[in-house]
Amino acid sequence: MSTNIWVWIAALLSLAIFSYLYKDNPAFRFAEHLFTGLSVGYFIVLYWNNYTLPYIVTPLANHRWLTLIPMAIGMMYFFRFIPKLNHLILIPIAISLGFWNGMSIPLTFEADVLKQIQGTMVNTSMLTNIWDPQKGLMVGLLVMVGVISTITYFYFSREHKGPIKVTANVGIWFVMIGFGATFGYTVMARVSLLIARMQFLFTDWIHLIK
Amino acid sequence: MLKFLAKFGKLDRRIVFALLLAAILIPLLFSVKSRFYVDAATRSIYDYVDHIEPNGRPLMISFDYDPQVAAELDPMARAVLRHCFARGVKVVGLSLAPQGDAIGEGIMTKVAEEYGKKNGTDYCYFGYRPGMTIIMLQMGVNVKKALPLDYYQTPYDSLPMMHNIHNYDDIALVLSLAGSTYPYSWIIFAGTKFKVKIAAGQTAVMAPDNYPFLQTGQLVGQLGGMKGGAEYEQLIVEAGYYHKSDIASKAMSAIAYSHLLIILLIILGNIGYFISKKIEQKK
Repeated sequence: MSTNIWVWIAALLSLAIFSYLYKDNPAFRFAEHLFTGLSVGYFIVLYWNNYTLPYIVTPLANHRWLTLIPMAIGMMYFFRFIPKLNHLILIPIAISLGFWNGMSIPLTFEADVLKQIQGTMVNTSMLTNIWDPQKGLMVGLLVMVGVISTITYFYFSREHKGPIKVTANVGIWFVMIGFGATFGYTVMARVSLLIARMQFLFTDWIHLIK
Repeated sequence: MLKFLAKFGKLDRRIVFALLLAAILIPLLFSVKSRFYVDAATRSIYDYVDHIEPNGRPLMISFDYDPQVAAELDPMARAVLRHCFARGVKVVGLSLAPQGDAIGEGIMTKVAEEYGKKNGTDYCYFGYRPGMTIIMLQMGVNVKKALPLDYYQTPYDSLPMMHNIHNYDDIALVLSLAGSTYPYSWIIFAGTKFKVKIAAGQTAVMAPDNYPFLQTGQLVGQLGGMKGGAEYEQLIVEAGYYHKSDIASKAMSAIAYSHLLIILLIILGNIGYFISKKIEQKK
């Protein structure tokens, strides 16, 4: 058994959380509320040290008065609570939206649309090794068929009958395989978290696993 | 027999939890080892890091994750750091997620101690930087402006390792360890705009989202979930960079058996559902 008090606290809180698997109980609720409270406390300190101090307090202390402009724009969000001045929150929202769209639209289009269209194309370099599991022609064709049939399934402007129905049905299979892969990965994620807790309880706490 | 199978359609969830616990604990307690292959996406990151020149351009690790997903991402961070420090590759650490701040510091300090590496000369850690995309963009122009002070409040210019690092041109690879879409932002705002190489270490839940970016080469490689960490651990042990398998490798048999159990329960649950439906129809 561990002699470290923090390991004991962590172990008992872990067990309190696990107790919810049986049913809701005061031990679980205590651990849940403690976690929420700690998180809020952590974020207050972190945001003060990483946002407020370096970007507002320190520049103002050094007489960099231009800091007051973005600060004032940011403070306008609080007009939400003054009904008569409520409309003024559109100013910071407009600035944020304009900045974000200007910054991200061209880059997102290049990374998400152009590159992905390029990645869907079958090209001559794929002919050098047709069966290559990463860059071969067969994978290229599979990706192309998958993308076209899946998009066809999500095309609702025309009734799904004839060739469109056949293609859409193939698309459903690709979508299902995609969901299956995602589900498999999700199971692994949840199981991994449980394994890590078990490793902690049985290794660090009661030293049963070497 | 049919009545017995029909019961699987309405199995009490507490029995499922108990079975899952057994499937996880038995392999862990008896140190059952299972074989697993190394995915091409993992090997790709390993090969890339293995070709970074020692004492040359550093690897940047962004600890973009919270404690909730540390179980999956900590092993990756440790394995990659061991690989770097064993080869003499310098490392720059930072975090764009608020809670990644202390996680990154703890892991970097601990692994650096194992290899006798010094803060400021062999590695630097800058902690949490607010602004995510702003920081990603700013580092493409001026790293010093984006990271003026390190985690311990040491000014950028006082860190000898950072003297030759001005922008992404001086970074060999950015590895974002994340439980959400941070690697996606890295691809867009650092990879697409500044052409720096990006790799991702993702939780298993998020890993499938990155496959399109692997196929197009926008990601150098990906470590997916605890298996990704285990694969990297195996690679560095095989290459002699580290002496023993770590926590993720030990968890692989528990993952394998728990998956088998879940597959079995899904099959039995479906059989049970259809049988109980037929029994009800007969009534």
